[in-house]
Amino acid sequence: MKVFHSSGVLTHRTHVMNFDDSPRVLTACIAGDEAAIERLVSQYQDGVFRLAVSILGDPHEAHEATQDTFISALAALETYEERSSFKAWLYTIALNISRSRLRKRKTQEKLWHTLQSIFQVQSGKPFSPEEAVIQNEKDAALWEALKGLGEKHRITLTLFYFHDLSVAEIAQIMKTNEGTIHSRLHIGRERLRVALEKQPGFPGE
Amino acid sequence: MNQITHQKAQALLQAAADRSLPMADRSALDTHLAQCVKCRVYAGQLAEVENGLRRVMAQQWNRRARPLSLETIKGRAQRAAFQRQASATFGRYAVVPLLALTFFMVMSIKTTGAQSTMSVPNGFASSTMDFGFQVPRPPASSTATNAATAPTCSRLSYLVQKGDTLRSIAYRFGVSPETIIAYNGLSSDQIEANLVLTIPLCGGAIADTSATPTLTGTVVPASGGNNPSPRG
Repeated sequence: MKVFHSSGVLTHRTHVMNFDDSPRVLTACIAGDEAAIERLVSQYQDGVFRLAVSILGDPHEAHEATQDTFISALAALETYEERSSFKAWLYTIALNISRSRLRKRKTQEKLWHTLQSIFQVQSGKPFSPEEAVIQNEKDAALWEALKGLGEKHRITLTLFYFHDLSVAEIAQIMKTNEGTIHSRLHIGRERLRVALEKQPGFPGE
Repeated sequence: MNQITHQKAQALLQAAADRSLPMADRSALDTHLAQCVKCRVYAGQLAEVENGLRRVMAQQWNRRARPLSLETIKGRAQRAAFQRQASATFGRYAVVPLLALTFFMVMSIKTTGAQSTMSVPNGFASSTMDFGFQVPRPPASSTATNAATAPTCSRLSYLVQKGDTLRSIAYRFGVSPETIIAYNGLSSDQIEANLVLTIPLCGGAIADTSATPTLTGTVVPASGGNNPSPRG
């Protein structure tokens, strides 16, 4: 559990979620105990970053969103109530920050396209997030179909399949009830299934 | 043995994917699947979607955070606070000149564009100097193809196949049929197989054909290397 380098940079510890986020540690964070804050950050930074990158697609922007998440979370730590899990609370903030960045980016993109068509300027897409190239044709089709889903369904599927959150946790993070999450998962899967039906190699009759 | 419908079975399969299939329904689903090929296929497809999702998402997003230090966060928080303050003071007023500038740019293009002399070159940087009304006229020889061959357009030679129509080709490359007609000096919209058409591919916007004087009878050569730039 050695967490610190001498430089103060935190090392990674992935998938350790049995962090002692007891009131004692959180109280220490609120009181400004830097060691406690650093532990909190190092504990959750990978999870928050992965959430941000899965919403935004762009690692650089996700890194900024991660920082903003911790800034907001640390500032609002006093308002955290223990009714929800700390992770769900933190992820809610991360999700909100990422989504508002996404909205901002979409507005900028629209503005950019408008300007481009007015001036007939040709240039590369300035805001396209980098993506790993998918070799497998079927997976590429799935990825495209996923990107084509609406934000609600895409994010719900992402939280479920990538972040391995339970339906109850997702409902908490997205501030809705479990029935809605079930239905979003159902609809999302169904649309992807239909989209893949044309692909060769997809199980069919 | 209790029978369930396909619809019910598929709903149960979806519930199972959510890890929320009630124990009580499990045997009914199993019995149904044992008899029903259609629902077995459906189950296979769902599993494929689920596995595919996990695989694709991991491939795209399985990255680790750059380690955050407390100093970074603190510094960012301070900068953010400063920016908030700054934008609260100045932000509102910065919008006004920006809007005015945009308005001016659009108007200057509208007024000069009508005379077909305005072709915005490759980037903002080089064009900002010319946004006044004195856009240099390109050499007379190039006026005819000026709008269609603005430097931002690349060309593509296309060998007409059997069954192609002008509309189908135009649709495929996202240009208007009129552009192709004007660009290739076609006299009608009937085209034959094995004809080589030059298709202008312009970024984003389609070349404005209304600004292009229609050509009659002459074929514009496909090689554009010697086309003088409008800037000359």
